[in-house]
Amino acid sequence: MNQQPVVSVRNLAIAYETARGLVPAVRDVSFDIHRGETLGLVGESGCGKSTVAYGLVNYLGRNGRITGGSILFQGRPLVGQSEEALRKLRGNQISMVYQDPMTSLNPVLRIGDQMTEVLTVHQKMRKDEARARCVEMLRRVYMPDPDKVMERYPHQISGGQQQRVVIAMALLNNPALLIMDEPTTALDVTVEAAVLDLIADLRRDFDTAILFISHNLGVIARVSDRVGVMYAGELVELAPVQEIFANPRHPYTQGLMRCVPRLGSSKLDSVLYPIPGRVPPPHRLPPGCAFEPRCSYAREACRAERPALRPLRGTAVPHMTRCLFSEEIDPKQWRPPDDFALPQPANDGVTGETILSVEGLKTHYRPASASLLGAFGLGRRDVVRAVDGVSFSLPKGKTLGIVGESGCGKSTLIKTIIGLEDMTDGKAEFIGFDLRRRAGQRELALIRELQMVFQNPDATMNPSYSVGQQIERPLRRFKVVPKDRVRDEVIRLLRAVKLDEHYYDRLPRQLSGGEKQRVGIARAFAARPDLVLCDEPVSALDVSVQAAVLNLLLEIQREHGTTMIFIAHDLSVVRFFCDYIAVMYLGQIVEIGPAEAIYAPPYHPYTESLLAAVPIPDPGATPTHIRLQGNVPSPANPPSGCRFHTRCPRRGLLPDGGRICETDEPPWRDAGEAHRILCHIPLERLRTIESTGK
Amino acid sequence: MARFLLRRSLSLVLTLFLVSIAVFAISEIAPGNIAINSLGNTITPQQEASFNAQNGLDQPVLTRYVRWLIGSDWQAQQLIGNPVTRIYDEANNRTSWWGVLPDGTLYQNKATDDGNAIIRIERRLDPATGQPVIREVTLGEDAWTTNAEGFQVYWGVDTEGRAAMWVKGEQNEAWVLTQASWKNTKGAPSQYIPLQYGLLRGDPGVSFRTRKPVAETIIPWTLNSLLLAGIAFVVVMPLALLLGLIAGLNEGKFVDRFLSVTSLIATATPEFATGVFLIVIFSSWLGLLPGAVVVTSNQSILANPAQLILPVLTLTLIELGYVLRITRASMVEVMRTNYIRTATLKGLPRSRIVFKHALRNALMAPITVIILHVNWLIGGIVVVETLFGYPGLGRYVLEAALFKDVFAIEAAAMLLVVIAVGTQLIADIIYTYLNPRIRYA
Amino acid sequence: MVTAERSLQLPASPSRWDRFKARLQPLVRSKTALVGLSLVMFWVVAALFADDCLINPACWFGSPDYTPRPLIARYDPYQSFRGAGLQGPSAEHWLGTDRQGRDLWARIIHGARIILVLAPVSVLMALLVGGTLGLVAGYFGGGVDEVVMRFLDAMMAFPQILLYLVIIAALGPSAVNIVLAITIAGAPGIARLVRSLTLDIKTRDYIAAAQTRGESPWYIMFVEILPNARGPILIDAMLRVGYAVFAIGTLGFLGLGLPPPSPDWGSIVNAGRKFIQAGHIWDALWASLATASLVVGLSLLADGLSEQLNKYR
Repeated sequence: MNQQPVVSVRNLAIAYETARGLVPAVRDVSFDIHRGETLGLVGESGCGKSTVAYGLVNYLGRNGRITGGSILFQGRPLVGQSEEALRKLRGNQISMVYQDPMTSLNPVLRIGDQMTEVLTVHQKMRKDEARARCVEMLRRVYMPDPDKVMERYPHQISGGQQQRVVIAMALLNNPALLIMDEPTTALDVTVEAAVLDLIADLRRDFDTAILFISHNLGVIARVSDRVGVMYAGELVELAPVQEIFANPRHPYTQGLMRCVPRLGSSKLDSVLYPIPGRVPPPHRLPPGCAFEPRCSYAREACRAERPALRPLRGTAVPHMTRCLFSEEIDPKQWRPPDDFALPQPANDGVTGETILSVEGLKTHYRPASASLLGAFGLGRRDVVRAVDGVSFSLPKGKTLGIVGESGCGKSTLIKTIIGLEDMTDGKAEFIGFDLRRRAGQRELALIRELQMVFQNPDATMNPSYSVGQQIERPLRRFKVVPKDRVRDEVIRLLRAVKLDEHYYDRLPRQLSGGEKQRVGIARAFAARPDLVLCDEPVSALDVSVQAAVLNLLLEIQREHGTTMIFIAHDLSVVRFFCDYIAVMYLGQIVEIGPAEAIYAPPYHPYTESLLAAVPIPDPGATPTHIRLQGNVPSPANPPSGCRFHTRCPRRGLLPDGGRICETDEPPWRDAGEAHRILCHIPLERLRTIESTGK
Repeated sequence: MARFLLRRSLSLVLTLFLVSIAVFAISEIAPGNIAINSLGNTITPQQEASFNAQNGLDQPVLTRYVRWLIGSDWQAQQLIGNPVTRIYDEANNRTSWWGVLPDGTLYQNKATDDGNAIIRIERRLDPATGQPVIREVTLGEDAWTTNAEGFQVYWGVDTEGRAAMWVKGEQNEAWVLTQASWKNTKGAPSQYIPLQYGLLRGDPGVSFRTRKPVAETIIPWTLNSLLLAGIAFVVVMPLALLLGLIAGLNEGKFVDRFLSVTSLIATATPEFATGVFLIVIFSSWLGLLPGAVVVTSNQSILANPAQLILPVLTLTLIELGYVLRITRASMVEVMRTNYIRTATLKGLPRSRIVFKHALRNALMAPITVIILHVNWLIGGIVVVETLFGYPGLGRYVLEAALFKDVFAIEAAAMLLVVIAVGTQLIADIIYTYLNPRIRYA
Repeated sequence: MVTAERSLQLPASPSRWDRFKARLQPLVRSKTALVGLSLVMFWVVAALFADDCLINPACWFGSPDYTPRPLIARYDPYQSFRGAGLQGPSAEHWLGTDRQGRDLWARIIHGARIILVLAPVSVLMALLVGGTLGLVAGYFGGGVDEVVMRFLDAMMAFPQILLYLVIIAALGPSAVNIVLAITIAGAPGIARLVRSLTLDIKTRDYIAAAQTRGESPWYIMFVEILPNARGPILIDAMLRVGYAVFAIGTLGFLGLGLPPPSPDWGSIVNAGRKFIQAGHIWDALWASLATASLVVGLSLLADGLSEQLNKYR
């Protein structure tokens, strides 16, 4: 590629004016993007990826500014341009796609108005002409019924469709540079897969340079030609996608790859290695290499000076790295540090006695009606069938994973078990206790044995009380230890979750996300419960922290023989962490069985689609083209027969196109070893489908 | 959307109904005795009883509430056997109630002092002059009917605007308060139903203070108040929204700081204080403007517009500050949203971002909040009207409250609540129009 | 052993004094808040040291032979100076005198006492009533919420001034009734605020955690929810003290304030406004100025504080 790059960034530095003074958010970032090329930027939160993106269009808010370096866009400098000159480029030559499509579209303007103005403003195009272009563009992004969508308001279409609108809008003027800032992060895994397909198609058809930002290695592997890894505001490694995944040469890149489980790997056969420590805040960067405090290869030289981004020696591939010792650190030679001991493998002496059995559990609710008629009971009231007839049993000491798209009822299911929701129907028994009543009415002995770990680290702790006070509360309430020993016990628990006793008096706002989640775990395990329900405990965490928290949960579980139910939307994490897996769709379990059986044929068509949608952090993986269309139907009005029939990609396997799926409820098919599939398609037929787990 | 508005209207009606009960309850059932409150505490028990009977205050609460709400004429008509009607007599500038005979003649009744005969006062219009002609007819024995208890009774309309029942031969006495003093009248009826059309039909009763129907005073005075508030509104709204938007768009700059602090001071200063300052400056020191409103009875408020300036200015200052602050806050919030970021990064000109993308979102919050603020404005109007002596609803309600003129308080209170609640409905409609998320829910 | 996230060196836990200083920071940093604070402090000091009651133990126990000695006020607020009615400001009477020849400075300073007791007390009462209603409605939701909110909506539809008029007219003007009226008028607004905060906070995971521990609803409401709503509630309360001063002044002005000879600011304006046209503007002017400065001070304080709090959220 000898032609001039579309955008050429050299030594870019961006800083924010804060109460602490000028804080550098991005330092010394350099890269080029050529026509038709996609550069992926990856890194954990707070590493400056988005700042780079907004720096390119010089949209840094009131307190941010470019403090150094240059940006050449099609040969012309962007830094120091007037606001008017920038305006003419924005939306025309450079356009953006954002993380949250819902809030990125104006709620009070029709989609048509929001799209056409891009053309009328920049191209001075006539309204009707612009409209025709927009409809055409919506068709290009596979938007069903584009004419009608033009007349709609953003809240009237789904999140996936909103993102298609934003993408179409960005492409209207055929921009030279397209910046995509985490465009699929807010979407469900199945919708994400469809949007990624779309981006891949557009990449072929439009000759645009794309800067693609994501924290997800799998997504980056899917869409990028080259990948830049960012850490603490610096680009630490930059190489073609194949190269960087096959031969990462910066310790941080290597660390990132070691802490995400591969799809199909399990806790029994693999280990996650978290990166110790956390990303330094931009106002307290170490003097030498920014990664040095967390690096297991760090030497004296690393502390002395900041390494420059330099080409890797001894290779023909254009591979840049910001590490003094990149040539020496072969990822294949890596050994875990000495103080890293593997969690004890699960004790095989687990009795296998059933600790929790659930039969035909239903949780329906009436949405709170705001209408006056509703207050008098006159209004039409839909019953939301959040959980609609779920049965399973769970042996002691094992972990059951629950997966499914958002809205499938997995959270409601565990909230019902723990007593936060009213059970409408069915039976649930846990070590001899009936779980029908709400938590407030249950006896203390039962409450004590049943605890929960929550998703959002920022909401899991009460901001008004110190760490110690919050862990003490269950100890006192359940009288786990005598009163005079409560403080010792809290400190013991803190140590168990790898926090030292200094954390006792800290307030939640002084803690990082991972630390809060650890305190949440300590609080849940304080009463030494038999069953712990985990509602997406690692979803909001960065991958390195996620690995540490998963390891922590494994360790505590193995020590106490605790039984767990584990929800996560990341199918690789669930596969890694769980012994059994249940796949839920619209309030029902459609497939359940041992983890390894779920991730191999025969699949339920829904499980197959979910697995096919998982972005694999391996650029060599060929994406399967099983895609779910549309959204999860409303649980207030589920489809007849098999609930999945409206979206099922495998109905064609049945005679006459699966007419039976629309009318009859499907039977349970037993695939052996407690593996059951709820489907009309016979097992023999399902077995012929190829494996999607690569 | 229709369903939403229907729902809101329904809840509005319910609210009004609850409020009417509350207003009625607070003013009539709550501590204190209407008779003593309006007549002073020197009256005798007989006088009090008679007063209560004449004004229907001896009736059960429910009956009184129903009469107050939907009137008593329909009830009285059944007992009397003839329709009743209220007429306005220009000659002596007062209204009076009459029964209507089948031939259209109007009549009132009184009894002879011994209570043995009923006199009918007939009122006809002279076909020649068009002037009313009054004559008195003594009715015969057949006028009496026998009721369930075996008494001979007559139901008619008395001269004080009440349906009344006379019992034959009963030498009943009543205490009537005249201009000067208490008077004991003979031949009085033994049961009364004060005639009124009821609140819902525009007749909330007769003022104890002026002895005139409340509606007669309250309607013109309300119009005066609406004039005052209307002028203030027309001045405030465009100015405050504009300044608020300017402040919001220049968040943190000098314009914003100046406008924010000034408006905070303007809106935090009580109306009476603002009013006093303005009077002191413009009337006492500079002598430019009149410091009080003087209106003779047959003169329009607008005859001397200069006297409106200070009251309007007082109201304007406090409302201006409030609306400005709300608009500013809303604008600041909107300018920080992701969709404004999108609009900016679409390369739209700033004017288009502000007017097409930000304005409608930014106005949603203030318009509802502002209109809900009418409650507050009402307080301001009471103060301003009192301070400047302006003949409006606010002054009326204050005077009624100070004199404990029950029917006047009730009427004024209901009127104010209707205004407040009505504007809330308008706010809802505007909000619904501005916000498609509700329009196309 | 799994390797911990090696905890980076965090500063040692701050001392109490540091925390106190940190709390005060937003106050000092905002000029608006500082100006507001000075205005409010002026009146607080004036009220405390109007006479020597605060520093003379004889006053505390109501000793019979104690007569207050004026400090800041200079004179007794009830003392009439013969032949000195309706005077303008002079060295002897800084702000002039009223019709009865009483010193206006003394009356205004003593008036601060009244308002600075009545306003906070009525807001406190409204907080108790409204806060509890809002917590209960927001936390329990459903039918309870529906009933409480309908009732409060009806109350809010009622113009506040009307509520004051009706209540004071029915019960008569007195300190207790003024507090009652302001409590009744203010409680629905507080209830709405607390309810919306409760609705937000109750969706947080730590509330679910408390529920899964089987905590009682009262524990959750008052221990888990309320402390996290305190910021907005306190700022709102500060504004409301301002409104209460505003309302008490207005009541006095309308002739519904504390009965004479009390040096209630609003009542002073009410008595004095009759003389404005005659050229004696001082009663009305000073009392108006006093009320306005106190409300403005409280508003500036609340505004500056909330702005700083938002900035550092």
